Amino acid sequence: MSSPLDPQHLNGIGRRALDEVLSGFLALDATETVAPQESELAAVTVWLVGQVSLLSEQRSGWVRVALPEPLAARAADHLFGPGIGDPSDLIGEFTNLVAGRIASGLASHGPGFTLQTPAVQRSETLPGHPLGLVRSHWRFWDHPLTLDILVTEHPT
Amino acid sequence: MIPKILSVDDSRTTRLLLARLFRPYLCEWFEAADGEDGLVRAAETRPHLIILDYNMPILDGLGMLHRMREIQELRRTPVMMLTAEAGLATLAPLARLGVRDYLTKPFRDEDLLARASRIIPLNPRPPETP
Repeated sequence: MSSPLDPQHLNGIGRRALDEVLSGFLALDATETVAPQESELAAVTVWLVGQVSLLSEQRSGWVRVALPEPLAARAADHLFGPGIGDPSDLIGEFTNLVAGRIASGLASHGPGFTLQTPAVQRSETLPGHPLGLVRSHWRFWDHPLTLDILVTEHPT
Repeated sequence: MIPKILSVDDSRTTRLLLARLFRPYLCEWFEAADGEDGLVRAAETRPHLIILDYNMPILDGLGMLHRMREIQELRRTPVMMLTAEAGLATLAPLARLGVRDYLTKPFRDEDLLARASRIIPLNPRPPETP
């Protein structure tokens, strides 16, 4: 049996979480893809980045979702109609739901996590890739979306 | 009786989704963005059902539940909890605080309406006359 922090295992939990939330919350299907070309990522002028921290006695980490701002605005319009929804709030809640599913997936391998409230930032670049990060790339409505998961064991 | 429903959730997105879900039904709809605000709105409106988010800034859902149980007028108000994750560590305290039901987000509309209708009457809103 693989370790809960094994990157492949984490990626599987993340994939299921993202799939479930996209279909259940936004009624959308996304496709997991290979990493987009640098030129496509560079063409994004503003990213919306949602992040939720996960805390437990033995482990901590975070879940981060990044997508181009126009995609977030389109998703909000898709959900509520033009100009009614708030793209930042939508991405915060979306990240919260994905993080919740990931925390539930990890809870079967140990104590549950406490989820912090989501933080959403605008960024001109896709956030970096620290050591231990599990990143997957997705695509919907022909835009890129990245899901990052970082979970580490506390030193004993 | 026209039921009064209070949604306490820091996510405007979730409040919008819930308001849209209950719009076809005869009810009065109220909202609050965190547990402190929720306590004030609950005292003002005396809702028949509170749909309460677990994870919120300022005062979270668990904190609001604890405070409600200390307030005579709100002690017996039915609460349905919405949580982003359904681990035992999250759910066990809710049961001890008398939460009537809980749903994991993202919820299915029909599930939420079915569970709400076990607590309050949900009758279709009559068509508006011009």
